[in-house]
Amino acid sequence: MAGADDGELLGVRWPELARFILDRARPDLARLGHAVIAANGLEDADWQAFHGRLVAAISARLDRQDRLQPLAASALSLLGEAGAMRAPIEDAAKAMLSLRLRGGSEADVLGPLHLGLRRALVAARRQLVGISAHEDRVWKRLDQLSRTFLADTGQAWASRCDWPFFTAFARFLKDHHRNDAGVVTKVESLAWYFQRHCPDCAERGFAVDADGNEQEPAPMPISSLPGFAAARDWLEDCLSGLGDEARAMVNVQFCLEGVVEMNAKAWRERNQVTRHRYERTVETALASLRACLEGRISDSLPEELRVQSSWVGLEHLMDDAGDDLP
Amino acid sequence: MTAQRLLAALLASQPQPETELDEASFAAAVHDCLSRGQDLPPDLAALVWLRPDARRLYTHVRADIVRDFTRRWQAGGGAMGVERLAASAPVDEAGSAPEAITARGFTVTTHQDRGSGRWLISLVLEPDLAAEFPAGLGVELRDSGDLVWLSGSLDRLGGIDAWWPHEENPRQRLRHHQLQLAFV
Repeated sequence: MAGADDGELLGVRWPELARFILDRARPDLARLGHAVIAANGLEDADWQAFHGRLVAAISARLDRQDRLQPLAASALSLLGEAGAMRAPIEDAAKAMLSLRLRGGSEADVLGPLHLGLRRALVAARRQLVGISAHEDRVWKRLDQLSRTFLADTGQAWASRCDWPFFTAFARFLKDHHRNDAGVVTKVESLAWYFQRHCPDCAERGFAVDADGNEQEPAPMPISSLPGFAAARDWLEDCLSGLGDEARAMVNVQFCLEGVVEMNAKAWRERNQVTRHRYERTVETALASLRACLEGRISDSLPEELRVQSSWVGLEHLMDDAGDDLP
Repeated sequence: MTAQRLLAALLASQPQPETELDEASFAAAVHDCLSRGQDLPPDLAALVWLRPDARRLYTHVRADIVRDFTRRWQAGGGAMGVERLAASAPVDEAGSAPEAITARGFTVTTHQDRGSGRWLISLVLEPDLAAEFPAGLGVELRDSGDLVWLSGSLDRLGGIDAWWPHEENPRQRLRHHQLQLAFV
């Protein structure tokens, strides 16, 4: 079983761990590929030799006390599942030989081996982390239904592993399989199953949470949201509409421009304001600022796109079906 | 930076509207815009600011685009890291001559300004690979000691540069650390 430290690396930091291993395996992959071509298949000795060299290369990192050392330790745990890794490599070897027969270039021929190694790591991870029978059943049903969905829609989905697909498939399941006890219909749940099981996602290096928690991408800095500069300008306008005391407290709380950095306690003491009053004022001010900002954003849109009163979103993108989500 | 903290606090406490978002339409529209390097139209951008569910979905779709580009970059031969070769010519750690470290797909240059003594760090992607870079994504150059060297958007020439904000001499730092490129 995976240890406590392995849990994180095999879970939310899985892409980092996989990349660490792949980076160290790639220089040796061509050698394995040439051995496969020479033997017209994957010989056990060649696979063992490749695996052994990879283990040795990663073991050499264990003595270095740097940030890669924990990765090396977890990588060795994963490579201990050599049995689970063998089948994807064998599949890759067959694909290589097929390409070779069709006259593929060396780069083409080695392509499947890169993919096979990635799949082998995913297989080893599944072996190490463990997959429950329930999860397995749900995935098989989703796998089957998603193939039906692809065939029925005829849409050229690039893969079964991006958010446009997850959201569209969720809509399909809600419309046609709402009462199917063997499926999940929430977009986040679907994404989790596909990222954890679907080979398309393995190819794309998706992050998978080994503990079954919802997987979120790293939070985006606010400055990367579309329209950030305009939102910042509107916020400044909204701030100027606050009362003097509320604005001063917000400035202190968020170290805004023009305020010498000062902690809230020092400010309260200097201005003889109780903590309760300070916190209540800041809370009220934030609610007011949010309403102001949302109003400015709404006002910036053309008339036909606005939604009056309390903003809930744009109607042409709204679904009023009122789904009762699980 | 400070306004960002306030905006982040406002968004963090934003309630989820009762009306349901058509996630499929929204995700498809955002994916279409971002993958073609276009800005989001105002109505979609407004949803990102006004709805936590739209914001979360936008983040996921953007992560898809980053992942796809990273995959295409690697498939096209682009490297994700570089280190100065030990066998290269003796390193001029105090001099003002620019030093370029080149990997497949990008070049990092360190140059000390003679007047101020400050170090300028620049990163340039190879034109062919940079041409496919989706507008709106960013790059980050970080070393194996987890120090961020550069972070931000590419200019129209496919590059980004910034003054080195740290005390340590960057060229000395390269003795012990690899540089890693990430698309963000």
